Amino acid sequence: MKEVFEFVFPGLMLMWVCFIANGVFADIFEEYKAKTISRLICSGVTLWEILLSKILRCVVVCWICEFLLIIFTWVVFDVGWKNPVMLFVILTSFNLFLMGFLSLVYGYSRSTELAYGIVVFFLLTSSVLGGSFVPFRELPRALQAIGRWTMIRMGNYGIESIFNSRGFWEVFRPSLFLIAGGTVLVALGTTVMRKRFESGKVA
Amino acid sequence: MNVLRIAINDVRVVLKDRMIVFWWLAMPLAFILIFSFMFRDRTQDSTWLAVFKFDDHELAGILLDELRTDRYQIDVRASSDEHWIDDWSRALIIPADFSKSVLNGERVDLTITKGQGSPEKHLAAQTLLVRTLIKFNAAVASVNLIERGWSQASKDDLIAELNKPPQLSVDTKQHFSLRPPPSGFAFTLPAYMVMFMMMMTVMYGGITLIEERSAKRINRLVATPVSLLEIFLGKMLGRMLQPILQGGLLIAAGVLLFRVNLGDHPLALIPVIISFSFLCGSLGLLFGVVFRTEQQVMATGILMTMVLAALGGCWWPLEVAPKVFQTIALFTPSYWAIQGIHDVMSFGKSWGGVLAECGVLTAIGILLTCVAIPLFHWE
Repeated sequence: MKEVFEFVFPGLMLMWVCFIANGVFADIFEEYKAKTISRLICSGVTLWEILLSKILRCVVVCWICEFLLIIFTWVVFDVGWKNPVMLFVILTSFNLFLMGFLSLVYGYSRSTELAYGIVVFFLLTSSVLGGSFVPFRELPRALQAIGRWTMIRMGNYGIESIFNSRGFWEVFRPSLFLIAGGTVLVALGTTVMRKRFESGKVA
Repeated sequence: MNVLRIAINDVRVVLKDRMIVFWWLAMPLAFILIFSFMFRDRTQDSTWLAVFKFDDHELAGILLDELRTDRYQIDVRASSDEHWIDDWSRALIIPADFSKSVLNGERVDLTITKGQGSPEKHLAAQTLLVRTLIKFNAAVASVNLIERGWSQASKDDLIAELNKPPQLSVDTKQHFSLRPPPSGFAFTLPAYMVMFMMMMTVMYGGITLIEERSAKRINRLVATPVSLLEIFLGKMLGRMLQPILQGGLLIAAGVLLFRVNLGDHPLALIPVIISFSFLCGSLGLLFGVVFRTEQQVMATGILMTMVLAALGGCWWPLEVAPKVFQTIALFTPSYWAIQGIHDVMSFGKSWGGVLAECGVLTAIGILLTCVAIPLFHWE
């Protein structure tokens, strides 16, 4: 049964973190509407710094959430999480990509409600294709071909590689994709969000 | 009358949302379609077995013909395809000296490779091979092929021997009732219908209540000659009508698009859907009165409904889950809703057979409503 949990929990954990991060990320817009960000700017902090600090806060929440889920599954279900260093690298790269994705969607959407709808749709689809609902190998071949490019599958593959004691490159390769993609997305997303906040077009 | 008017207005507000078709129909149908492939009845699937036949003798061909039986797909490949062997789940290799060795009475080893793939399928392929080899060896011995050598007469005798019906056979049954367990669309339609009915009612029901409160619409309604009880019941009924509508649409789509069988007594689905909708409505109302912002409803609503869906058996059949989870499932509304729908759709039960499920769903709904009543506010 332990093996089954090792199959199921990583995908579920990543999906969980996505939805929690989404809720936390949307708070930036609540703070903007409540003029908290305007007051922060008056105190001499730049918008860049504010946005990056909010993203960092979101990453920290993800870390805490992941840490608690790992501890919970380890204690309750005896899931044998291995190689904490590589696990941290995988989860951090996953969180980075998630932040980039969220900042881009929230940056471009006309309203937070629309952004929320888009994010939920993408996260649900990505969870289905990435193997959070059922093991990835059980998906039809065509869906696997699409699913392997989702962030959940990449993160999941890294964790799966740790469980299966695969080589360093197998463990690290998906993280490399996530770090590269995440960095680009965060840069793009924060730029778009900064422009939106500066223009005041936040619904 | 006022209750009905408030309820219909609430449904109208939800239906005005342009995304409603997507969340109510398109998304659940996509889930139902995708997951139906994974939960299909695999006992009917054929087992694929690639074969490399390096021996051109007729005897090797006869062995191959014996392998070709129901539910096995024997795929004879050219030797040029040999480099693909590592990517295949399994392959049988018939060596070049197979016939020569058999006719000389020498031992021959056939090789079956094992790649990545279902272990059950590999076992099925191995079983087929062993069964065929036993029959083949018995036929070779019976017609005295080694002493007689290869001729038209010995070939005919061998084929005739192989075509004899077996004196002893085993008939495997996959399930022990006249009705097979739900699989494919019959499993995914109830599962994802329950999940999305719950999720959408919590989201739309909770969010619209928060919006109405912040826009002071409930305040204005209180000022009209409508009693507070009527307002509460109207809101409750409105949130109950939403899942009824969504469930009805999904069942209709399931029947029309996926040819899902609704069982012998399809009308018995009505009490199940109504009692589950009552539960969803009370949950939506509770979310609307407990939370203050839309973000809170969205974040908590999605996570909570997904937990309930997973624990209740929407994502995978509970039979594969450990005993602990099967016990936990008894405390989730999704479990009772799925059981009720399966009882009607897959196990042919009628009104009397779903009373327990409807009772539990209604009881949970009443409990949630009792919690929501004192918390209901309009400021």
